[in-house]
Amino acid sequence: MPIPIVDISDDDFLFRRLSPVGHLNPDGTVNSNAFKRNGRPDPEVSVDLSTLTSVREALSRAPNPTFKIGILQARDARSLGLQVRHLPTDDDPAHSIIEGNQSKANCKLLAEKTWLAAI
Amino acid sequence: MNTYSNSELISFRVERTTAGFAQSPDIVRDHRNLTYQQLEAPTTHDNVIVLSELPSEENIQADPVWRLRGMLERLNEMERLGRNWDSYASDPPSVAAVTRARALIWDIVGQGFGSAGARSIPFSIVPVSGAGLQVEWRAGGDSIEVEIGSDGSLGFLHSRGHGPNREFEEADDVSEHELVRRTLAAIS
Repeated sequence: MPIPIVDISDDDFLFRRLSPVGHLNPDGTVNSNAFKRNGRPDPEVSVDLSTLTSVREALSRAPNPTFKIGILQARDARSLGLQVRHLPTDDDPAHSIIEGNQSKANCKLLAEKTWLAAI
Repeated sequence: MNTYSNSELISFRVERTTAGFAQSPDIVRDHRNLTYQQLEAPTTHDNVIVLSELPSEENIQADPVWRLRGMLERLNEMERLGRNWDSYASDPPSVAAVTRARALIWDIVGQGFGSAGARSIPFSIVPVSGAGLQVEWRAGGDSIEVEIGSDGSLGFLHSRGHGPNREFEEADDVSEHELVRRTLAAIS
């Protein structure tokens, strides 16, 4: 049975899995590399929609328990001219994507808008 | 035991357990805040000195030498990252990327420490998906992120200023000479 597509409002939160050894700066802030893939700005950033999951559930999909969850608001991504939409998969009904990320500057700005979930 | 100021020290060489420096012959010693012990038998420079005392815990973050050592250790760690470090099946940074990053860091520290001091030391070193690396320098409102591809190719993002007046400039396939020049300008 197909998973219904939901609208994502500007106020909705998005969860991004972060590697503690790779995506964080020495001061604990999020590095722009969290929004890059294959050395380029990731044009289709995978996130989870907060209304359909929880931080703990999003973390459970990480390879190990040291991973963190970064949180940003759909509004912040859209303010950069990016699109945010729900794109569920069989394994992850909350899966969503941030589309249109084509510049290093956007990667940096997305990182600056992202904060770490405390659990 | 001799005490040397930051401004007296040019060109670093940091090994796993020691840190060596060449001392500028032009600068009068002012006995500021770093304490080092003179090598009994300097190897490549007449005035090479080596770190002999751990700074106190609270001073480590402020000590540029220890920050540099930390960054170089961080670079070594990059080589030991396992596959799938990012949960998206990425390989760890390639040998070519790590080698290029190490050379670049020494270029910036070697050429920039005299004028920019601790700003010549990277703010962060992180892997990038696709077996690359990213090294960032910060100075006031400016920052420059240097991307090093798995094949050693270079790109950058230069951010200047704050708020509505903030400006970004970015490019790929940049020469090392251009990147060093730009980074030195950003941190000076």
